[in-house]
Amino acid sequence: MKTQLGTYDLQNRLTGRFEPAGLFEGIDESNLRSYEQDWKIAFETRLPGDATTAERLAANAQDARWDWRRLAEIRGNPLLYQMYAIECAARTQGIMLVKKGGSFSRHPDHPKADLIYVDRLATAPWNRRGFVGEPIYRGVGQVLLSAAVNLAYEEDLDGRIGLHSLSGADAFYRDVIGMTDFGPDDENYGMRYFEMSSAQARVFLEPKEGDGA
Amino acid sequence: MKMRFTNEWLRRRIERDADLDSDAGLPITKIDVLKAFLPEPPAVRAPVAAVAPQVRQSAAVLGHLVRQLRRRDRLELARLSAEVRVPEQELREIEDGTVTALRPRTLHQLATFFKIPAQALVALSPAAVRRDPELDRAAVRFATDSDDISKLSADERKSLNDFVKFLSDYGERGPDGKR
Repeated sequence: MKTQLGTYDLQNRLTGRFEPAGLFEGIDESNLRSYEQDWKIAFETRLPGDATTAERLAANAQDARWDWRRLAEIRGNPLLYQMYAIECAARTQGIMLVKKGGSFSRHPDHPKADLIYVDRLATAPWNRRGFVGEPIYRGVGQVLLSAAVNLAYEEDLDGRIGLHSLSGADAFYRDVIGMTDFGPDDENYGMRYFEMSSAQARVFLEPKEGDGA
Repeated sequence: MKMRFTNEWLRRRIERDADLDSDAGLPITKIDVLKAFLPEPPAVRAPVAAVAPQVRQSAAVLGHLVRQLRRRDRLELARLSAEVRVPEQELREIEDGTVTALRPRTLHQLATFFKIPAQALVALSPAAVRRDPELDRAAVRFATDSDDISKLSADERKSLNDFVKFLSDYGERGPDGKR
């Protein structure tokens, strides 16, 4: 079921103005259409210049085995995964697939503690450098990642999340969000593994002066 | 869901943060992954009025199953709570059959700990979108087969083992109900 969690603004880079966007738990046919008609075609017809190994592999893969694994797990336990979407200007601007069980912390603060694993966080091609000369919306990653941290609190996981970053986004997770960088993971196509510990989650959601949170 | 961040906080973050790409995880290439999250068509859903008693029955059967498994393994509730990392109060409510909505993580943790296919536990739980008459019949048979005493009798153990085997077989079935 698709449920709106709130309205959060994205910044239009072209105008500099903020525009209201709906954050949803769950997806529907409109998100599917947007993904099939806009996202997939853009992804298949043009890879960004800084495409990662994983993206190049995915673009050429007829049968991506990681997707078979996802499907098997989703069908095996329909409650294990959750999908999120952010919509603005009547288009899907980002999606996030999270796994709510079976992933464990590598952080020395709480080794082997359960966490929310962000299996996929994707921004629409028109919001990414490399796909378009002037990407449009800014803030999709912040909204979706904040939703993941929020979920980690809702699930009594004290804000803990983990993910494998695409190489162009390493600096975002390490320097902007402040997650711990565990380095390249050979079992995940060399993508770097990042984790937000409970302490980092508290700092992440802590309002800075003038934030109003 | 309680949201722990505001629009104002997020706007400040977006303005303050460096403008960098944020994609993570392996790309979704199969559209079936997204389709798996679409709501069921209304036609295949049971009417709400018809589901309500089934939900209560499911909660009771699930509670009974967890309690019997815990008794089989001679685990105190506090010990099970520590093993599956689910609050004791939540487990007590499950065993009492008073829960109507189970947290996905709790189901996952219980399925993993007791080595029961998560799919079967989901189908048995009050959260199941569709009821399976065969599963419901087996569940009722199991629930009426035992009394709640401190140690499992031979008959109770057999009934529990039969039901766990049924759930294991059930978990291996495909979406069409066949293995």
